[in-house]
Amino acid sequence: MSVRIVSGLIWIALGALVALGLVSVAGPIGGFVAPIGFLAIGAFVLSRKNDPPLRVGSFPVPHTILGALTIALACGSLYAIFVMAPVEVQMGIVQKIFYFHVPSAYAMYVAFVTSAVGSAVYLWKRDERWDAIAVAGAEVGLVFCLIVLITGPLWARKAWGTYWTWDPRLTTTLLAGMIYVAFNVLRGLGQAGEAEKRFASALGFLGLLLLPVIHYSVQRWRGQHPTVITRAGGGIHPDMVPALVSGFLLFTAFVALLVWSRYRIERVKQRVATLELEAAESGLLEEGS
Amino acid sequence: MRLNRSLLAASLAGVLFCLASPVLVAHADVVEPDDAAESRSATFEAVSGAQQEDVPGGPLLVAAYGAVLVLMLGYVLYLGSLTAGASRDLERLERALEARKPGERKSSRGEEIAAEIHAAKDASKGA
Repeated sequence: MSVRIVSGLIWIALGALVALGLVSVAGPIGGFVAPIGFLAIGAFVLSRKNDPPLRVGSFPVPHTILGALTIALACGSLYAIFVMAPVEVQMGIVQKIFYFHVPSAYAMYVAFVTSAVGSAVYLWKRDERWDAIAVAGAEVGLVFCLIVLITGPLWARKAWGTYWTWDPRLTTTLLAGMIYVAFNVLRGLGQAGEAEKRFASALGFLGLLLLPVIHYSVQRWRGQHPTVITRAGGGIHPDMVPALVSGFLLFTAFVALLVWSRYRIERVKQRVATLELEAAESGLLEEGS
Repeated sequence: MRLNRSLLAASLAGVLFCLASPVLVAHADVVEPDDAAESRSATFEAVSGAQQEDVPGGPLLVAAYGAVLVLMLGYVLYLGSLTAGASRDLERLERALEARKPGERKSSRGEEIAAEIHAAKDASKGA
């Protein structure tokens, strides 16, 4: 049994451990959904090849299956949200934003943790594969962070009467988003050299330190942000549970699909750049061609 | 072997991170809901019968789900453009190789690189 398989199994076991912890802390919903992220990462680690083929636009079978699963989950989730789930008594129909807002935040965590792990290992090993993971996680996480920061204020307009307040969770989420904006801007400025990659990796790892602060800010510094599915919350109506669970499943599949896709593209870009350099050094290319 | 070690190290780092999280939970100050606003932020209950809304929620809901749709579609299109860019780079490399005469290739490694670029281009066409 290779160390790679052992690593994947450790992640899956970690998911079970986190499940046990979150069941006691955040109830069955937290215990159910959190391990999925770790399972996704475990599957990602297990499915990785040491040297992926240089192919552009091709879709391997697992990728296609995951894409089809995501589309099916999207249909199921929208049905559960708009047909099955009842309207909330105080906030009305706008409460249905909750079913995409919270899973987006969860997907953001998964992607940013993936990026931070990739960044940390890249700083240690200087392996381009981990750099590609860091880039993929940071970029996909930023997309989900944008979703959180757009859907949250639209919900808040109805619930709080204002689009934005400097609530601890809102502020820390915005700060995390800015850190990963910096990461992506740094990596997006032309061909990133070794120094840019290392600096961006340090930023990616710094973002990881902020994630627990975001998560526990509503308990530590009680602001206005809802705590419905946390230990302090009163939970949700039983008829709303399928909509929320399907949202978590959808965004788990979505974040896995997007990170995997972005990782493959980054690896192709890295190998094309390497081939170009080697071709030039071998005299296959004209100067500047 | 280096990759295997790094995977193991990343896994152990994840274990440490997650084991540290409950410590933060244990020290968190839990505040119980004590008024209507607190109750609203702590629990969601289903409505019974018709209800009038002071701030219309429909446009906000449509805007939120529309934003999600636009962002997701936009990002998928962006990934498509990145893929197209990589295809263009491969085509450029192939054209540059074809412009050279075979005799000008200077090393066996050069031949390997050329073969790999051609194989990648073929894979791209077949996709």
